[in-house]
Amino acid sequence: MMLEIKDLVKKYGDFRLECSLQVKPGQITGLIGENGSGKSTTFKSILGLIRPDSGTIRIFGKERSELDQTDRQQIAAVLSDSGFSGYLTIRDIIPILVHMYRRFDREYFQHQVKRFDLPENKMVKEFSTGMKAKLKLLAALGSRAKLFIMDEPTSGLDVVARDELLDLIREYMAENEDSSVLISSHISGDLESLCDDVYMIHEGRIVLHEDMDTLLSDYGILKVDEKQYAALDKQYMIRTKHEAFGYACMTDQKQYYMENYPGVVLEKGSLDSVITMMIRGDEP
Amino acid sequence: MKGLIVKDIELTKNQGKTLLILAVVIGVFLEISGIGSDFATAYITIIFSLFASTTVSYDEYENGFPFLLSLPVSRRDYVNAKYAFSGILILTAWIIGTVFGMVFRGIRGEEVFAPDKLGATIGYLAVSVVFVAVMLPLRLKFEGDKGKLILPLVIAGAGIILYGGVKLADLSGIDAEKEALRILNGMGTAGILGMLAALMVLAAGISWLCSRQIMMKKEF
Repeated sequence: MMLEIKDLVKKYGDFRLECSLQVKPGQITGLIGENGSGKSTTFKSILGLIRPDSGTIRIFGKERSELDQTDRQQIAAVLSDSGFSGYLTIRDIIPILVHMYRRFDREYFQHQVKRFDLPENKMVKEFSTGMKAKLKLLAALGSRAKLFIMDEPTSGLDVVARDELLDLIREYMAENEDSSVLISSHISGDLESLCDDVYMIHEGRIVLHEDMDTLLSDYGILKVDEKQYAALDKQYMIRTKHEAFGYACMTDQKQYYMENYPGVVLEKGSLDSVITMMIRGDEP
Repeated sequence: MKGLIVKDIELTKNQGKTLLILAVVIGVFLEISGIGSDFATAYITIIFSLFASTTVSYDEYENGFPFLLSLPVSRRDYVNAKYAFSGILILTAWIIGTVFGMVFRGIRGEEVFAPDKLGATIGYLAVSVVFVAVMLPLRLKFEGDKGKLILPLVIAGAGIILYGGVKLADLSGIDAEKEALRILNGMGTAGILGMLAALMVLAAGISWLCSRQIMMKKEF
């Protein structure tokens, strides 16, 4: 296992994070949730930026506190709200990264910097949000690490810039099949097209973990009126939500309802609809 | 750790260049205006050394710390690198200041390698070390707007302590300047240099321990 979080607890006033998750080798795992749901607290705990109240974090099979310099070289982070000092230029950053990461791929980094037209002599503080985001991602990927921790790497970017960044991650993962990524976003479309599995976090708790393929193929939302709802077999329903027309019901056995209730309206599951149902819906 | 020192050197190359040029220009002005033959040396050494603690501000610029500490460095590495860099910077500033003083003594036709003058520059080095030793843990402890107040407060605090000490000595009927000179003369050159060396080691050591403690406790 690349990363294993077990019963992690961190309290901030009224907020309480309780989280367990795993990232397997070669996989891109998504963590999705609203702002303030606990995504960043989870990431900060993994990176050792905050001290959890309890629970364990194991990276490459070792306790976080037992990681040595060689292990640390295999972890790279992209944080949406933190990066290199704005008073440095890309030209300054290259020697820093070369000295930070023994396996830093200078050629890859410089090639990508040129590919994305990032100015090498301009201070980072003068960069646009998109340029800063690309620089952070390129610096992380250039490290040739094995585990990438990416907290909202596409935050504040337009659709085109977001796609460019996601393509970079896809390209990297295609070339480095033993690497893993834990990525968070509040934009479901980003994760839907990128992740192998996804964890959904709400008010500090993991409310769902599912393979992305399963979520997209087996989950569905039934739209039924009061009468249809009363007649439905509810054993494969995960959430129900009262709507103006009757009920919206989420199932992870779409096929079962398609075969047994042909007259019922059934929408294909998407990360967005699943999130909405998990957060706003009730247990049947 | 090396990567962090390289980062501070790169920051100094960008941001410190202006400060160094300004310090040298003011130094030249002070020498020409004849305010004091060694004042410019002290000025360059101390002012440029202060940049060491300023690099903490560049690190925290736009919430930079979380990213910095997610690189393959520990909090202990960060503190060690900051002190190693400060040492390099103070020594460089001291050499520049001392060479500057020697050049101007040469221009004025005075003895270039005057042992008493060179001895005095060790004092400036000690002042720089103590100043940075006080500034670094405070800068690491207080971030943002609070951090900006530290430098003026430390300068004001040093002035108040000095003034208060002299005033207190005056009230007790002691001529502080005469008394200090008497003690220093009694110690001899080797004694003074030894005292300054001990002062620098002690200040840097206590400061390093405090900074390490502050960084270990911090959450980002």
